[in-house]
Amino acid sequence: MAVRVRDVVREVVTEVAPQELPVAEALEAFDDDTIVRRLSHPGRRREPLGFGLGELVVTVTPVLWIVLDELIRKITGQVGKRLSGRWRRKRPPRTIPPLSRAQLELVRRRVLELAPARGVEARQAEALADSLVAHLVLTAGEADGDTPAIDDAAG
Amino acid sequence: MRPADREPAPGTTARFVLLIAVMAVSTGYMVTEGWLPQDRSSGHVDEGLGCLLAAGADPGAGHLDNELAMMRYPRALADCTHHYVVPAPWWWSASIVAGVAILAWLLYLFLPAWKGRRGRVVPFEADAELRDLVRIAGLEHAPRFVLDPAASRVGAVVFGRRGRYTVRLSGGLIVRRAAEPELFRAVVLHELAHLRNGDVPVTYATVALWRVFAATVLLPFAVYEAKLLVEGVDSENPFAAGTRPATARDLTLAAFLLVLVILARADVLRVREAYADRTAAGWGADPRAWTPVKAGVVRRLGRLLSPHPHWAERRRWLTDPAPLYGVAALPLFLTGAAAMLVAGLLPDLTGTFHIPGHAVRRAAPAVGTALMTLIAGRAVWRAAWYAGRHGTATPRRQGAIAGFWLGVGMVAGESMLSRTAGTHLLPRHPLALLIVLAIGLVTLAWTAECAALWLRSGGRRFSDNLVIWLGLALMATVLAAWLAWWQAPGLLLATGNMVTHGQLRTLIDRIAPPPAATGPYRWPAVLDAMQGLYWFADRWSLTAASAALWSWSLFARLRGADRPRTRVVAVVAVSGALLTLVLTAAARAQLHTWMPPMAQRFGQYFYVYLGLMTLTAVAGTALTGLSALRWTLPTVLAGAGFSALLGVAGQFVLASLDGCLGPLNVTSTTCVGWRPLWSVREIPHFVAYFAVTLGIAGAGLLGAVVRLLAGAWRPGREDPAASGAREGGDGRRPWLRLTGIALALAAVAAGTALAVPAPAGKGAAAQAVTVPLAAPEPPSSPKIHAWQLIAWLRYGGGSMTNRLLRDFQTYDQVFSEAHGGGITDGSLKAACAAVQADTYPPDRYFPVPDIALQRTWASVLAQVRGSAGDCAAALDAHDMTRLLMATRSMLTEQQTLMAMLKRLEQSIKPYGTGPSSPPRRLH
Repeated sequence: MAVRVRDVVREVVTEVAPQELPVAEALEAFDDDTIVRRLSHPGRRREPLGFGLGELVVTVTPVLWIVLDELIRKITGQVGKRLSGRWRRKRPPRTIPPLSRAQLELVRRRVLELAPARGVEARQAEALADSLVAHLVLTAGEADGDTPAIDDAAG
Repeated sequence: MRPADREPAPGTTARFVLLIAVMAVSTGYMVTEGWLPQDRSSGHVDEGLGCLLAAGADPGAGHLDNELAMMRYPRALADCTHHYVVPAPWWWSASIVAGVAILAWLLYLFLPAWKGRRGRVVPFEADAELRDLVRIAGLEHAPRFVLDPAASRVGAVVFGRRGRYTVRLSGGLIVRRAAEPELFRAVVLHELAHLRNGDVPVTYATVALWRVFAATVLLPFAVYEAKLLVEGVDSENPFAAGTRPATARDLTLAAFLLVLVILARADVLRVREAYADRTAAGWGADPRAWTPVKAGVVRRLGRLLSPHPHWAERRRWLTDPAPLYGVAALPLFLTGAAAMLVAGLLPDLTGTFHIPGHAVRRAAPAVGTALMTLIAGRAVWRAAWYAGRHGTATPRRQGAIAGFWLGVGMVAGESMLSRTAGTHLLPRHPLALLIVLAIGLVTLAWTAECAALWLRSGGRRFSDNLVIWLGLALMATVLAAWLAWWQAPGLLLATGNMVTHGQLRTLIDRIAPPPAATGPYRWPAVLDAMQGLYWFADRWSLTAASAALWSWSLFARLRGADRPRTRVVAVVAVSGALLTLVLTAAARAQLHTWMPPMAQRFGQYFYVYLGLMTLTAVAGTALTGLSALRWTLPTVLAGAGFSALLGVAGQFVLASLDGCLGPLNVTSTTCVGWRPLWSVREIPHFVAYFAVTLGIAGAGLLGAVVRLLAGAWRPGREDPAASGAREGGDGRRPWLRLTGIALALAAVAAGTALAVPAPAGKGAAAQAVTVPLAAPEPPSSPKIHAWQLIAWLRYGGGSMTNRLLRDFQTYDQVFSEAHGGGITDGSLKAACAAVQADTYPPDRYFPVPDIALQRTWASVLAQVRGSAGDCAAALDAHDMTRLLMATRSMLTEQQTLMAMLKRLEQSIKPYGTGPSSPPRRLH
């Protein structure tokens, strides 16, 4: 049973970092590519007449979106084929197919790898990884052995 | 200080306006550089250099020489330009300027749309708290709130165009809101404070104009100039070599503008941030919000470029805003530079719209003045205001240091303009640029002291803002007068004068001959100085400025007159007047030894007498500036004003007693007692005019320098005038105040009355005699010389000589064919008339740019004109002998002319047919 990326994100955020929920929900106004592109570059531009304290506050949501986006592009073989440009049409939300054990393992590893750079603390990162994997298993379901395996080395 | 007084504004809007103005005028200049007039003869786009070359201009020569070349033969040059120079269609440059403005406007509209586009933000409904914050901010129209959910940090930004604003909150801020509601309130209040302070339209207008200007004007201009510079390196074209420094200066201008706009904009924005912080804090924003988790270390350059102040500074300013009232060097430097560029380049901008340059040139100093006054003047007034309100002392040298930086900026701005140096990098007399420094220094130092004087004396009569505006108006008067003077004729001090001293002396000797009995006067310098004084004559603005310099201290006194300072003014005035009289007596004693017989005591003798009176009165008044060692500048200037009047009155008394003064007699040797010389209008009108204007300005200059040096020697010394002021306070003596008012009014009235121009009789006489311009310099290279000759031929000389040769031929033919017969049927007479018609009046075309050839050419023209006249007269009188003589003479001249043309051809032969590649403009 396939499940939409944004639904997974919202549910994991509700569980692990409920304070980020308004942001996660607001992001749903955009298509997946836009969300991932914007979240990948937490720029520090100092705009005139702005007030910026410079501190990364939204941490969990970007990690989730980036990891799940990587995953899908690996599954669909779109590695490197990033976005056809800013002016593309809005696309329907992406879905996650049932995942193999190796894929789930990869997701878990990527979350733990990415979390420190995004300002997620170690303990929260563990909780986040666990929660995400659990959600994926529960909603997308575990794939059978014949699902095309992902080359782990490529990750 | 009354608590109800509103705080004087920080003047950042004026700084934005200045930035916009400097970009606008630079656009005008840079665009005209790209669309120069085209030469009909050569096809070159070169501002009509052919006519200039023919007139004797020389790209290798000095700026002044070329200016003179354009002035020597105005009619010929106008004719040549009219025939050969096609101006670039005016709508080209005008439409570029308009296009830049329209693009900037479109970008101004587009930027907020882009920042708030749907692919980036989602609407954020204003809840009760946000509505409450908008109400606290007292905004008429609530802004739109949007959320940028992908922004992971705590932050917000406000943007929009006039009347339609958007506050964009970051996702990070929303996430934090629940845990730290105070932080949320502080950030939103800060953004609303920007709205309340009116920061948004002016900031985004500047951003939009800057981006369009940089991309469509500055960059293409820099590339164009760099290309010219590179091409010029190995170009055969002597124009390239001659104009290389000017091209380099234009490139420097481009780089300078880049740095200027970036630094100035960042600086203004930092000030605006600080004020938004303070406004927000005033509305109850929690100061703890100004504490980032990690502020990061920002280097000095980073701080200068950042549109936000450093966090540590922002926190400090919330509790101690004193630094916000300080007078910083960088903004003053940038202001001085930008304002000079605006004043200098404004005619280029208006020229693109065909607004006559003359009118704009006269108004341009006023525009620069207004901007400098509103920015620099207000800065020093604010510093004094803050010090007065908080009982802290302003640093004594602050005004002078502020003035110094303003002046340095003005020098930098002036150096980027071509009007002093022309095709060169530096003007002929670069030290004259120090005058520009002095203009900034003295004016601002005086303004600062006026402010200190007023605000320290602690009266309650007028509101502070009224006084500040009045003080700024006076500063503007003084600054405008100086700048107008600098623009004409002060610039000549840098470029060099058009008339040499020798020529002036000849002129004076002609107008006012020296007495035959005693011969030329021993001090020729006096005569030179008198000529120098004429530079300052006829300037009402100068008089108004002097009255302003003079009257402030008296005016300040209205508020809390105190005896010690009245006495100081009197002491300064009397000492200055005494000094004037001692100098006058010495001068009279000298003059006495040179006194010619009665009949010869006019002319040059009287001229020298008048000169000495003027110089001593100016010197005596100016030397009162030394009293600035002890007293404030406004006090000294008030003293100087009275000293000038007293000194001139003393001189008048001496002149009226002439004859009874023994060794001091200069016009009479018989004593008839009191004989007031009312009839000699020169004493009040000439002497007093200069004593009041130049004398007071000199006292101010000297006083500013003295105070600067004294401050450097003894830093932190308490100001005696200030301590006296605190002890004073004379509210109970209305008569003293009334006297003060009367004196101030009299001072201003006297200053204005003296604006009567210098003696009209002499001025008219000087105009009647044509002042000869300096003779042309020899060409800088043989090639240029050849090209000048080629141009002379091409732009009129060739057709003139050809027509004359053809006339000769016709005449010769008619004469030989109709020997006898032609005399009666009138064909010979017509041929004579044709020859005469083509000899042209001498100012019709330029002389040959070669001394020997010109001599021949002039002689040919004169001879032929005479012979042709003779021919006509002989035909009328049937005088065959005379006709034959005239014919023979014409034949001789024909041969001379042909020989001359041969010589001319030989000298241009090695250099081809003239400049092959398009040369540059000459100035």
